[in-house]
Order: sequence, then C-alpha cells, then structure tokens
Amino acid sequence: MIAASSANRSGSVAVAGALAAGFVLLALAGPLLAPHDPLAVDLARRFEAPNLVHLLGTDHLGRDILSRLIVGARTTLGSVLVVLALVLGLGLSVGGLAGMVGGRLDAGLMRLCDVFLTVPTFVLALFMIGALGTGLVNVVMAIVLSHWAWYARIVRGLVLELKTRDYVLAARIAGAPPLAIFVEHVLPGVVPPLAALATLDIGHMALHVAGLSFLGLGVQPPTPEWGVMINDARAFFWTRPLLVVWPGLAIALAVLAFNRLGDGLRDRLDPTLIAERGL
Amino acid sequence: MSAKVLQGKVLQAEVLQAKILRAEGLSVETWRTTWRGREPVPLVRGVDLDIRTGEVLALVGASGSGKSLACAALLDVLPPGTRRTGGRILLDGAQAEPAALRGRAVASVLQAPRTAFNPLRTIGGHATEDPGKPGRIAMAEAFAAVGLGDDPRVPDLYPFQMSGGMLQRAMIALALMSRAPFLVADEPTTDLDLVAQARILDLLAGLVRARGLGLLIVTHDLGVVARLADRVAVMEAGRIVETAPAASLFATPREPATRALLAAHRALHAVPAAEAVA
Repeated sequence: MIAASSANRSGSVAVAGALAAGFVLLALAGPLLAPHDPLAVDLARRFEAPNLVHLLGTDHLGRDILSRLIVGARTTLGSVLVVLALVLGLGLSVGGLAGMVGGRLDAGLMRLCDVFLTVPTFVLALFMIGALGTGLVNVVMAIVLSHWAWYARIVRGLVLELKTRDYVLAARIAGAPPLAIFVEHVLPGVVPPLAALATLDIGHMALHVAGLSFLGLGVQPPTPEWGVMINDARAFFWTRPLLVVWPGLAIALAVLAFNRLGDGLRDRLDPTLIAERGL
Repeated sequence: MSAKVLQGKVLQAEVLQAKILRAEGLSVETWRTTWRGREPVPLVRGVDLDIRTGEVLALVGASGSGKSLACAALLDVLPPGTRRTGGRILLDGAQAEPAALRGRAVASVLQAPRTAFNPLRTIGGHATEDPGKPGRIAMAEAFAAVGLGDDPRVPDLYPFQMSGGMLQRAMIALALMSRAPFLVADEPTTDLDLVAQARILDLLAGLVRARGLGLLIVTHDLGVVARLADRVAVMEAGRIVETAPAASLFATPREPATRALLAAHRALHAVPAAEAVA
C-alpha cells in the first residue's frame, strides 16, 4: 500500500517534471517551434475555431494562438525565473547574513525588511511601475522588490534555528570558519523548505507578471505573453471563451507542474526518505 | 611564538608538537537586569587547568558547578548570554588565541553524539568536509583506530542510521583526524548505555597511551575518573577547590565538595562493590 502510493507520487513527479521540461524547452526554443509567425495579423481569418492549419484557432486579429502561446512561454516563464533567482539570491544573502551575524546588523536588516513588508505587494509593484515606467524589466524589478523581504525573513528564521544546533557548535569547535559553517551546515537545512516555497511561488509570480501585463503595465501588445493574451481576449469572453481558456490553461499547467516538481524536490532532498528508498 | 600561533595554520607543525596546554584564571559571567541596571553574575571564577600530553585530567563537580562553561571558555565557544571576563590560554608557555587553537591544537568530543552530527550529511561527508584536512586514507585510518574500520559502509551512513556508541566513536575519529595533541571531551559517555560507555572509555584510555594525547575529560561520574584519570580537578560553584592525583583524591579527599561527591558515588555503587569484594 505504502509502496504503491509512493510509486504513484514519484509517477506524478515524473509527469510534472516532463511537463516543466516541456515548458522550459518552449521558453528556450519557442520561435523555432512555432508553426506560424505569432505577430502576423490576418483579419480575414479572425476568430477561427481550432482547425488543421491553426490547431488552437486564431484570435481577434487572426493571429495563430498556438504560436503566440509557444513564443509567449519565454516572456512569462523567463521573467518568472529571473524574478525567482533575484529573490532567492537577495533573500539568502540578507537573511543569511542577518541570521549568522545577529546583533545590530540583524536588527537593521530586519527593519529594512519590515519597510518592504508593510506595503502590500501589489501596491508596491504599482508604485514601482509608476515611478520607473511600464515594461517587462520594471515589472520584474517591482516583483523582486515586493517579494525579497519575505524570503529574507524566512531564511533568517531558519538560520537562527539551525545555528543553535550542536553540530554547528561542533563545527565551530573543529575550527571551521563562519562562511564554511554557513555553506556546509546551515544552508543544507535552509534549502529544502526554501525550494518548496520557491516552487509554490513560481505560480504566484507567473500570475503577478501576467496580472501586471493584463493591467497593461508590463509587457506591451503585440508582444505575445500569456497575461497579455488573456487581456486581449477579455473583450470577447462571452462570444469566444476559448481565447481566454488557452492562455489560462497554459498558466495553470505551468503552475501545477512547478508546484508538483517542488514537492518532489523537497522529498528528494530529505536523506531520511533517500535512505528508505535506497537501502 | 604567541604571535605565530595566532596565525594558526602557518605553524601547524609547531602546534602539533605542543606538550602543555594551560588555562589561567578563566572567568565567565552572565548578568541579570535589576532596577539598578545590569548586575554581573559570576559563573566561573579564576579556573586554572593544566593539560599535558599523554595524561588524562578529569574535571569533576556537581551539575551547575561550571565544568562545561570552563571548557567552553577554554575554546571560546561560550553560549549566548555569557561572556569571558578574564583568563588566558598558554600553549607551551606562549599565549594563544582560542580561535586559533580550535581544531588545530585542541579537538573536542561533545556530550550528545546524536545531535552533534549534521543530519543531512553522511559520516564520510563530515570527515572530508574541510579541504585542509587529510583525505580518505586518513579517514580510514582514524575509523580503524576507533573500531569502526571493519565495516566499509560506515562513511556512507547518515547519523540517524547509526547507534549512539557508533556515533561517539565516529566523533572521536573526526577529532583524531585533526591530529590535534589535545582532546577535550565534555561528558562523552553520558548519553550512552553502560556497555557503550565502557568501550568508549577504554578507547579513550588506549588513544591517550598509544598516541600521547592530552585528554581533558569533563564528568560527574567518579567511576569514569577512577577508570581513566591521572589527575582530578574538583569544581564547586565556579571554582576549582581541589586538584590531586586520582589515587590520592580517592584515598584522602581534603575538601567537603570532594567528600560529598565520593559519598554520593559510594552510596550509588555500594552494593555492586560489596559483591565484587565477596
């Protein structure tokens, strides 16, 4: 029974992994894989139902939806990965420094985090875009600035707890320098929960990029991006609901795939479970 | 030599040859906040310790007498909320910085082997984590010296897959790998069952003889002292009240604190001792 359910779990992780790999492939090689030019307007063929030429049909300007989805993967997922890398980097360095050093530096860095945490994410993002102007880079910056403090806080909390462990004391007594202690003994305990959190947030951040683009603040039309596509299709929702469904489905699938992958990653990083499987 | 010891790595060879590790006047205090402000509370007051290579010094005393804090002060790894207020460390008569001694001149064995290992790393991972340390051959040699050499799988085990006794052996092996001439063992057998205790004590005694280690063993168990120690320092309320060779301490205890410890020990072990005589 247990074996069956664990096989099931790893099966679903494999599916999620394949799906995520597919999305990454689309993001990398999108323009080569797209069957049509995603920007080619053909007003004679607008609102076509799915057919053999346009597998997912065409939008209100006669552009091929499948091609736009494929090319849009790069913008949406690429920006999310950049956001994630920056947020994790900032969170780990600020939170790690605050937790390891402690004292006044800790207090100072945490008050800085509080400043960012007191302003609601979306309001901060809107403010940043208002100050910096619209565009994908500014959207990325806005999302990073409104999210890093959460990660810094979580990392600091984990570090504070881990650094009181006996094995950290043992490493100190053995003469290990602080940076080595952080990398060898503290970081391995921080990464699994952080990886789970980050993969959960991939979906959240994709929705942010899509959402800000949907409001017309991020990626500008006619660049294909999933949020922009939903925004474009909104006007025709009651007559052509499929135009909203396709990019919505792409976002949902990507979010699901990365979430499941995150769960699998967390399990994979836990040595107790590795030993159960391996020995 | 003192300035050179501060730089640690440079004079590793000299540190490895050291014969006497001496702590003078170690003092530790904490503080409590009253309406008048902070008020210092002394925890360790002017403790002197002499650890010589090839010899076992036992530091005994009741719980809370400051034994572990004195060791932590020696290595400068005091817990938060306490601070060292005095004392200096001398290595062969030259003043040394505790941070430069850790892992070079002094290795340590902690009380609870279960928590002293990173649960996310294998035993071999612990042994080879520092690139400056010797590699797998030295590791195999150290594991063999502590009796873990028979099973080739040991380096690939995670801490939770090993027994407490095995873990304590592995910790001693890691301490040996540093090739430090001095070893501080803070209650190394407290978390172990009686059989494992006896084996670990035999192992430590053997290492002191075979390798000429200088061992400082902290314990509240006079059985451990009788079995292992050459000299004994008795602590009470943060002070060392009596230092004597082990045999004379058991035969003619001078201080009330020592007599109390001995009385408690004999009360606990009276029955087995009588049986052994009969």
